[in-house]
Amino acid sequence: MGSCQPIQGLRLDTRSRETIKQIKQKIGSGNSIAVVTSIGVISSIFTKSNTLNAAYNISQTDWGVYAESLIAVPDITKSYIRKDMERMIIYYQLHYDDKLLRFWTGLHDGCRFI
Amino acid sequence: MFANVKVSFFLLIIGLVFSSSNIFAQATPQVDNININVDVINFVKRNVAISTANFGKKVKLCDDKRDDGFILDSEYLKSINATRNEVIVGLVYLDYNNTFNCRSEAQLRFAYDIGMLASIQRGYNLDYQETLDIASNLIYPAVDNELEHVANYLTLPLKLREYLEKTIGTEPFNLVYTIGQLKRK
Repeated sequence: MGSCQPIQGLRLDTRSRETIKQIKQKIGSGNSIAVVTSIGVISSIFTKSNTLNAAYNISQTDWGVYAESLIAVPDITKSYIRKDMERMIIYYQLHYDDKLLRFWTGLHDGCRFI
Repeated sequence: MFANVKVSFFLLIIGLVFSSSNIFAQATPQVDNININVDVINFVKRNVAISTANFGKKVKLCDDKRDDGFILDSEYLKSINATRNEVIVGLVYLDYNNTFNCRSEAQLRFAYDIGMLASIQRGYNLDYQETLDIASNLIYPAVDNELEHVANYLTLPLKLREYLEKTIGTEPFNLVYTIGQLKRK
């Protein structure tokens, strides 16, 4: 089955709508963790230089942690969103609904319907 | 990914604007007579950053292993009277188990550091709901049919469990592909 086929008259049921809500929450939490980690690293750079007007010491480790945490967040968020889509695919495999199965399979495989 | 980094950077700037007083403050702020030690909060947030980086690397590594799926032996499954639904329950459990085992060390550390941050925020009477939401959304599975399948695994016939465990093994695998190859009756 091609996963990018057009879908006519798709109606999302309660379970699908709830999962879309959960996906939005995951995107929100991904953004939150990005803020927490970035501020954590940058704050510690500034606060560990105690003396007023002192030059800031930004080590290789600081840069490394900052960059790696920022890069990591989308991978974590994407993985958990993909898992939500898989849950929906399995559900509609078990409770056969062709349109919703094609919808979630398309999202999982990277198609966009909007 | 670039778009995500741009969004993260934008949020970072906004976050810095709102938290700049904490960043540069040497004085100890007070909330409801509780002294907030900024160094403690920064230390914990830095640990969250480190464990986020490690967890992200592990998630990617384990997700990359999920490219490989399986075509199960339909004749054997028929010979042991395994139903399609039973096989799906078994596959969902193995996916859950193998993925967790692959990520577990980094995931547990990430969970600990997020929990520590929430605990510190609560101790200082700061808002910690957003931190708890991170744990709920990015660490633990949703309460739904996936967990029901996982919980039902031990009720499956022994022969089916043995076959699946031997065939699938202990590494993450492509669950959707594997289920897609199962025949409908």
